Amino acid sequence: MSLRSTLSRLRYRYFPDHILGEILSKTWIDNAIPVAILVLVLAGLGLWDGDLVSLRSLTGMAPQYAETLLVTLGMVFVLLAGGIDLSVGSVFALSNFIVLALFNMLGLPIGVAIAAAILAGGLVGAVNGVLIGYLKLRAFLTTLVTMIIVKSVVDLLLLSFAVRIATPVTTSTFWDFLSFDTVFGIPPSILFAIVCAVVGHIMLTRLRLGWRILAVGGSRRSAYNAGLPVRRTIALTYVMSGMLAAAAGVLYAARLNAAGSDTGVGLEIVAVTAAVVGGNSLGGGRGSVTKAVLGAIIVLVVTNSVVRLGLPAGGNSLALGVILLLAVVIDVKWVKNRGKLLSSVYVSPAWMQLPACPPTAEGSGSPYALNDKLADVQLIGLGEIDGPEDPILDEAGNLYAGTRHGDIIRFHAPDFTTHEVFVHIGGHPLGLTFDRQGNLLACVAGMGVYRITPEREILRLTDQTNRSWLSVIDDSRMRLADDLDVAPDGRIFFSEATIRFDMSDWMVDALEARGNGRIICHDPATGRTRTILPHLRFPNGIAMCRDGQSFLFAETWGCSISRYWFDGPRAGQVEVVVADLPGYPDNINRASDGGYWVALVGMRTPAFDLMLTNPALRKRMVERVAPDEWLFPNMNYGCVIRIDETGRVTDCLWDRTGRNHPMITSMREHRGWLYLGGVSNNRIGRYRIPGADPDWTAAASYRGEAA
Amino acid sequence: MTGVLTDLRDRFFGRGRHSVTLPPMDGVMRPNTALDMAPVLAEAEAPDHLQAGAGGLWFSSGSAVCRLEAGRTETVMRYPAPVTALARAADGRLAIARADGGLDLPMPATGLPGGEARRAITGLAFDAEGGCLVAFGSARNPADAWQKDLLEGGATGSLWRVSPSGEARQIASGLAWPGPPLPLADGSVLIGESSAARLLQIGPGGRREVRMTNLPGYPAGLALRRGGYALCLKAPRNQLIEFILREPAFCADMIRSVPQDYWIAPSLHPPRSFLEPLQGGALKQLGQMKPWAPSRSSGLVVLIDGAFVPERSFHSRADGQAHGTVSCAVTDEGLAVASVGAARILLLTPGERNAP
Repeated sequence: MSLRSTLSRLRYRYFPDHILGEILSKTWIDNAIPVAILVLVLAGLGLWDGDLVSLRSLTGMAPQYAETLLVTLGMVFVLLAGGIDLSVGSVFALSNFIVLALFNMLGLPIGVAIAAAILAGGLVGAVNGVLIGYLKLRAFLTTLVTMIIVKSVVDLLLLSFAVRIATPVTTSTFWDFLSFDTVFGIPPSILFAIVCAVVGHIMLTRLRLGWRILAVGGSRRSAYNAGLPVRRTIALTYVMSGMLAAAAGVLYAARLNAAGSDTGVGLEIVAVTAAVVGGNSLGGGRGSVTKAVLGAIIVLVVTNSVVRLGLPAGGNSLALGVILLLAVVIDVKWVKNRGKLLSSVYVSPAWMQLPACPPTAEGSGSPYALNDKLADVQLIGLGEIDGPEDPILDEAGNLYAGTRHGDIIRFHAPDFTTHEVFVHIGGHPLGLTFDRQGNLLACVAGMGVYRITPEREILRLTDQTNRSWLSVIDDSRMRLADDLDVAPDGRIFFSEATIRFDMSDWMVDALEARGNGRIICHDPATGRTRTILPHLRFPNGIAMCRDGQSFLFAETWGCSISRYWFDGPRAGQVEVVVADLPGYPDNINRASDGGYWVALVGMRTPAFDLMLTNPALRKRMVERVAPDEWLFPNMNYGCVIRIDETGRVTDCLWDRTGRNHPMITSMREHRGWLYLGGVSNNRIGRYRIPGADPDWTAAASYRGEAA
Repeated sequence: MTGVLTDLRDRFFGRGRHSVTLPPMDGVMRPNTALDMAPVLAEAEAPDHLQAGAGGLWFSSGSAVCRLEAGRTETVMRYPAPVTALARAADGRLAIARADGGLDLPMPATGLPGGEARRAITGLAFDAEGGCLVAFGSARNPADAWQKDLLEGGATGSLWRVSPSGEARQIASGLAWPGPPLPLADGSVLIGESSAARLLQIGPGGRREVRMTNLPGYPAGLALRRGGYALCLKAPRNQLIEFILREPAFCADMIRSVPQDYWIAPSLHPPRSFLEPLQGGALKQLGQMKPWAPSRSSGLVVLIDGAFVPERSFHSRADGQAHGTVSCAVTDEGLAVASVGAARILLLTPGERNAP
């Protein structure tokens, strides 16, 4: 092996390229940008003047932060539902005035004053909500108008009462506590804001109202078509926004105990900037409370720093404007390109070198030499079945196969001319097997492992396994359960071909050629499911060996068949049985001569084998070339081989043209016939095996009554 | 400097010269199954270099020169090596080039490259004055290695003219695998540059004009017809192959370690072995290969007018057999097309309006 290929192998072995795509596919990745901005802002300001980001300076902002966060939260709810609320600054000022007027001037109890202020905020929000939600006015114009009206009202009131409201006629311990005290060193206003944030987070992520807000903002029409109360949901977000702005006004009153004509001026810009810079989309539907929290911190740190750096008047607004503009650009570009970025980054090929391909030419003397034994395969259900990956027969000779539509179809013995839907499970049922009790067990792509009783009751056996610690994507869920077999004690061993791709993209996994798959064991006695062999290259067929302690499994992209001992003296060991197949092995099943049938779903091509040693090239291919044009293994031809337990090839069945039965993913021997399945075929093949035991069935073999 | 930077940027983003986009098969070029439906004139092993005229339709097929007249094919001559180029003058004189370097011209050829170089002759044609045009596909590869030359990015072909008195003169060099030349009435020559997927008109003095560029396939044989020309594209361009062509290191690896039939390269035949590369879209679904599946081979004949605007096209797509359309000739019945993939000569009779 040359130095270049050694380096390439090591680099692709130890550098986890695939993690990038997996991280990008996470929903929390939207928070990455605001976090990065925050870190940059803090670092930048820290370099400029260390005091700006000192702990003292940051805690000094805490009371102010509580108010900003509350207003931002309200703004985020409105933005999430697809609107905007410009009246928050005026509501803030109104609430500030009401609290001070009722408490300081009229001497009403502080509780009443606060309740009245928040109620007033809610009322203004309700006006907005009715106008925008029910009467369908434009959010921008409507809230602009309410902003002006409310602001004018507050200014008129201030003209008359500005002095009187600043001189308290009464006192309240609660008001003093709110104004001056701390709890464990934290101002109560901050605690209140945190409580609001937590409640908001729970609402958005866990409660019906939050889901509705996200749905309405994501697609108003779809939400309407789904029967959601779109108008009410929109109106409610404005009420929430008004009440939160009013609550912020109350905190402001407690902090400063004064009202001026500049109270709350420009607050809407602060809130919108904080919301958007935190990563909440202006278009609605995308965002979270976490983002609001981050955005509020960024905006506050920047504006406070601008003030403390002594920039000339207007510098503050200028900074806000620039940030808002940048945030909007990032928001638009990110929302637009995230999917593109993900799709170009997700496929991450690894280095692999297969052993030399054994010859397949006719007359080459190779055990894999081409022949035409399958040319005259009888066809069952031609055009009536879509994607029978793994046909199987019961004791009575009925033929079962899963389809792409999520059904398991039963063809009736003896001539298979009639069929019925045995059960509908969903997903795409792939590997099938019967357990000792005559139940049908099915691996269903996208769903897990299911048991179907002869009475057609469907029971989910397992759909999750243990989560591995270092996996970025959630590998506890099953994406592509593929084939299974049952040990004598009832334990079910099944393969999950890949944890990185869904059924529709299974071929793309071939381009990665990484060990993305695993073998999992489910014990029906305890209900426990555990991954036993991780990092396999598309593990596929599984067949119990006759010793009852081990099974054979195929690694499709590895072009190999291995044996794993789960019991007995060699428990836990893996031994490669065939290392260099000329094609890609799929399912493995028992044969009547004591050996095993193996389906080769496709054949290796020298060009693809060469590309496997060049991951960077495959990566570029994925980026530059349309998916339909990618180089794949040649899956238009396949064959069936029979091996003995040592891996010696004892038979090989080819269809030279691939016309009659293009793809072979599985085969079952039953009473002298071999039944052939193909995951993208519209037929099941049937081949008379010359000299095979006409009474042999797999069930008898598993009971130990036959080979 | 800007050029270098632009090129680096394009390389990173896969734009410009580094993009693998192909011309859309739209308008006149919209696919059909005309070649697959066309009546068969004759069966032949590997028909090429169709020459129509008095005395029937002459063509090369493997190492034989054949003649088709009144529905009957007869082998006129058979050589020890494959015939790589053939021309027949109106007066019946023949020019024949072979893969072993043999070249038969009716005149001496003083000054024409000799020896190994003559294994690379891809086209011959007699012009109006009785001179003979000789196209060398490459200075490095023999005539049957056009895929290798393409993968190597070769542009070492040349075009020569041997005068009736026997003196050879180079008209053009540095051509990217030129195919059979087509002499025009004004003394210039129309010639397809296969590896560059374009059509050139080369004046008697060697002045080149690009007549068609960014063709959807690799041009081969040309024929004069009433009101224009007929152009054969022997294989389709393909996104994956375009991508591979921009990866010279991989091409070199592939040429070194993979047998030629199994390269990721254009082909004259529909797939014949499971060892040939397969692209995802060509995967059979429910037993069917989609006609629009990506393919390394196809059949395509384009009728172009005097101003080199396509007028009509005849196709055989991924699911067809009439691939490798290397040559065509106008006969009394219509346009005869040689398809290597189908091992047949087909007849296109495209109706009155666009009669070839």
